Amino acid sequence: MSMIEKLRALLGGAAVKAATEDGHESQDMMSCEQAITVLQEFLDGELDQIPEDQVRAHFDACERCYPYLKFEGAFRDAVTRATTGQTAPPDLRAKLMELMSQAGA
Amino acid sequence: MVGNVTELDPTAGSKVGFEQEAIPHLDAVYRFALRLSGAPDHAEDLVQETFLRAYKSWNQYTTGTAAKSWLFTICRNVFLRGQERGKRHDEIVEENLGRDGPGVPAVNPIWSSVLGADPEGDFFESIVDGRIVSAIDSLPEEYRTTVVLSDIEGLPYAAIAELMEVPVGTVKSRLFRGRRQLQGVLYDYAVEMGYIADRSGTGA
Repeated sequence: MSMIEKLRALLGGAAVKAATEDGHESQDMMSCEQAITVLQEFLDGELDQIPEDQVRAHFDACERCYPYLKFEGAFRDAVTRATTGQTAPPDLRAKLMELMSQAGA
Repeated sequence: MVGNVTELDPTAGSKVGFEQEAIPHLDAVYRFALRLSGAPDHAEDLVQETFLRAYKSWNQYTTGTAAKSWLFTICRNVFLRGQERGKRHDEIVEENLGRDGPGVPAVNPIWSSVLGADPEGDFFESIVDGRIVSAIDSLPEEYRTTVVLSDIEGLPYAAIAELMEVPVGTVKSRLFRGRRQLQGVLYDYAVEMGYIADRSGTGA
């Protein structure tokens, strides 16, 4: 099943049709250029001009842009996964408390 | 006039408040220190110095504001002060910054490299934790700190801007460039390891 078929199955076809037939320029969808411009802010949860739903709708429907969203998502997942297990050494807390009491409570 | 406990009894008040508000961020501050310094021993020293300074100036901390950001700020200042004797940082990045904010280039050049081979970045999953961490550590401090604060610690742009004393546009720009650079290092590694087929040139 191709990506376009998957998306069509997911979305009922309407949005994908608009994306593929109208070259993403349909009035109810933002352009690819706009979507790519706000991608970082979208993923960071920092959109300030455009509603999140509108950006999400573009990436859900646009065959060309969708991989970019997935790529950036996979990158962030990897960074998170690689660093989440890191915690302070067990004795550091005790050392700190000792340091505080020496500094005067 | 209603005075809080801290005002009435600075010593007793500060200690209780510190334990409740600062100590819970120990892991986060340690992670941050580790990425700043790149070495566990150095990170431990940095954390101790950070908490000691925070403790001593606890009366300047306003209850209810983000203690985590405050601790990160102290930690970074301690780190940068230690670095000052060695190299100069700011110029490296700032001269390359160019335009901020809306002028940030939005298209990631790596996208065209992976097109056809691995457009959704599945290769990231194959890269071991240690390699990702060392790639983060290879970034210039300004990029590294920005990426770490955003992607690892989840701080909003505004908090990062305040902490690093730069405009929000600079934070966005540093994030964009820092992430691109990090992806570039990881991409090269993935090609080298055969996690990703290099189709950019037929016999290259």
